[in-house]
Order: sequence, then structure tokens, then C-alpha cells
Amino acid sequence: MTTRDDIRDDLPLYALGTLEAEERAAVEQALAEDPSLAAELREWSELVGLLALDAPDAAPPEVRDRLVARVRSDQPADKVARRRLGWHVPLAAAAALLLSILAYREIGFRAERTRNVQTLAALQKALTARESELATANASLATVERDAASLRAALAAAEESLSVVQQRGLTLVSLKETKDSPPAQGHILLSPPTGRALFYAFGLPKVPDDKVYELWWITEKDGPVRAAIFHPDEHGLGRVEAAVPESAGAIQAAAVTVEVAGGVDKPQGPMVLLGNAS
Amino acid sequence: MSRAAITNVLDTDHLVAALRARDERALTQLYDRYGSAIYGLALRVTGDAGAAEEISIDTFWQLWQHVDRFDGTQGSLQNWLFTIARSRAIDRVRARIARKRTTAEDPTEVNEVRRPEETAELVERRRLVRDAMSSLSADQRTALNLAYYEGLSHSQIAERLQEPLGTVKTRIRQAMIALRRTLGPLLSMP
Repeated sequence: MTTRDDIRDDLPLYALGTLEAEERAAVEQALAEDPSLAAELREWSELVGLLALDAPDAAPPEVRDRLVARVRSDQPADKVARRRLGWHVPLAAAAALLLSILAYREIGFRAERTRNVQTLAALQKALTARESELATANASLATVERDAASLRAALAAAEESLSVVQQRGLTLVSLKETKDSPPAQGHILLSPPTGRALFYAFGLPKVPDDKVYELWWITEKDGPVRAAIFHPDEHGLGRVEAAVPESAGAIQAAAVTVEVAGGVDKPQGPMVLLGNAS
Repeated sequence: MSRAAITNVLDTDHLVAALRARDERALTQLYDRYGSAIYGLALRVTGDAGAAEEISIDTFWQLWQHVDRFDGTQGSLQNWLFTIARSRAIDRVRARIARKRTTAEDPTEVNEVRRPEETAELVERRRLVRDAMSSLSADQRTALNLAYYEGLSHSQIAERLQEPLGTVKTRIRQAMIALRRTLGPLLSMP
């Protein structure tokens, strides 16, 4: 049986850590049952601690520096190098890190610049395509606008013609080619109440650029009175609106002559169409 | 307790309080005081300067991280640190048991270099401990060194020395009693 004296004899060995497992268990049980043994054990433990002072080697200065570095960086233990490093290694590591950072930034700048150049080129290409599309659209718009202008003009002419046709007292004058003229015909819608007239010609050939067709009223008092000039289209269709003279007396007939460009005040050229108003 | 011892206790209490307040200067002061002793202990156990450095740093790192675990009523801070360092050093040696050990023998050459920051009091303690160890018989010292620096049990020491188990226990016990008699005045100091 283990006595208290046996335990006390084992306390220095327990503090030193040389007891076998069974002996340690016995000491620990006694320590739990007798707190006074704990104070005695503490003294033995302190004595064991003093044995460390028998090891005289001094620590290299860098150990302190590494400890301070770890504390400041608060790195976990396994992050600290396991070999003596000296100063050149951390300096080299710092330099390598700096170079890495600079290289990384340089690579980053270059990559970013390349990306920017590529982006700019793509934008320029897209801009060129948009400009081309815009030019095409503008051309189409111009065409459409021209067509619209033509349609508006045609609509205005149609409305004008309709306004003449819709008036009361409308008179129709038919015109035919003269003896020595190529086959052609025409008619005039006269609206005396409004003083307006619409002339249509069919089958008239084109005249030279320095020539023009001129429409005449043949009146009772003043004879031929200038009504309008016109150019037929490629199909031989000519159309023109003219005013009916008020003071020239009754209109007896209408005629078309070929005159110099700009027209004349009295007919001088060959007559190609003629029709009586009565 | 001497005036120097009382001053040291108060100073240690102050440093521990500063450590708990995460004051880095307290840690470096304690390192300056005990760092070389811990390094020497670790070097003596492991026989490896790199391992000794790492153990030294880890010991103070343990103090820095877990100072709240230190209870001044259960022992001195010095002993707490030495216990940590010794335990880690022995664990390291055990981890590489194939390595040839030389720590059982007395040191053939004593390096008297010390850090200038070490206190005169600690230097005096070193001298007293060394003198006390020198006063032991060679057999006692060998057995004690095997126990302390290699962490061997009685049976392992007996096997190593080819001595009876009882003889080994007696030698170590007598060595400890002799040391206590010689170093008793230091035991009340932190």
C-alpha cells in the first residue's frame, strides 16, 4: 500500500516527469485528496524549472527579432520559418515581394492598356459601321423625302385639279395636232367663275433644251394672250395650270406653240395643238 | 524574501499585467530576461540550433497568446516558461527518435556568453544552479540529465544506463534533494 511518505518521496520525481503511469496516477490521486501536497509539489516543480539555467547557450539576436516580427504580424506558429534565416533572406524576400508587386502592376497596366486599345478599336469599328448605316439611312431618308415631296406636289396638283373640276360652269376645250405636227392631243378644263384653267397634253414630243411649249388663249379682243409654258415628261404628258384673262374678252380658242426657252409675249413658233372653245 | 526578489515579483506581476493588455514591450522584456535560458534549454535538449530558435519563439508566442492561462499562485512565470520550452523540446526529440542523442552527457564546453539584457540576478541564479549541478555525483547528474533533458522515465533511464530501476530512482531522488538543499533560497523567487 502506498503511504503518504511514499507519495512525498515521489513528488520530486513526479515534478521531474520520470514516474511511470501507475505511479503518476497514485500521486495525482493523493494530490486531489491532500491539498497540502500541492504546495510541496509546487516547490519541486520550481526546482525542476531552475535546471533550465544549467544550459548556458545564449540565443542568437535574430531570435528576438523573429519573435517581435511574429507578434507584430500576429502570424500562427507554423507560418514562421523553421530555419535560421539571417537578414539577407527576409530582405531578399521583401525585395522579391516588391518586385512581384511591381511586375504584377506592370503586367496589370499592360493588360489594361491592351484591353483599352482593343476596346477603342472595337468602338471605332462600331462607330464606322454606325456612320455608314447613318449615311445609308440619310440617303434613304433623302429619297423618301424626295418621294414625299413629289407625292405632296402631286397631291397638291391633284387637289388643285380637283378644286377646279369641282366648280360649277366648267368648260372643256379639246385640242388636236395641226396639219404639219406629229400626232398629239390635249384638253383644257376652264372654270370661269374662279378664273382658273387646267391644261393636259398627250403625245407631245420633247423639244430641245432651248425650246419650250407655250399655251395661248385666243381671245375676242386681244387675240393671242400668253397663258403658260410647260415641258412634257418622257411619256409625252404635259400639264400646266393657267389663269383665265379677265379683260381680254371671251376666249374663242386655245393653242400650243413651240417657242424659245422662257417663252414669248406673242406666238412666233410653229403651232402644234389647236382647239376651239365654242 | 529578499528586496531584489520582492522587486522581481512586483516587476513580473507588472509585466504579466502588461502582457494581458497586449503590450509588446512586456513580452520583449521577458524575452530579454528568459530568452537565452530557454534557448539554451531547447538547444541542450534538441541539439539543433534551428529547433532551439523555433522552440524559443514558440514558447514566448505561447505566453503572448495564452497569458491568461498563467496563474501566479500555481508557480512562477519563469517555471511556466521553462516547462513549456522543455516540454516542446522533448516532444521534438521524441518525434525524431532515430536521431543520435548526445544530451545525456555533461556539456563538454560551456558557452558563457549571455545577453547583456539578462539581469545580474538571473546571471547569479545561473551560477548557483551550475554550481549545484556540479556538486552532484556524475551518476546523479547523468540520471538527472536523462530525465530532465530527454524526458525519459525511470525504466527508460535504467535501460539506457543498464542499471537497476531502484538504483536509478534513488539516484534521481537524492540528486533532487541535494539540489533543493542547495538552491532552496531561489525557490521563493519568481
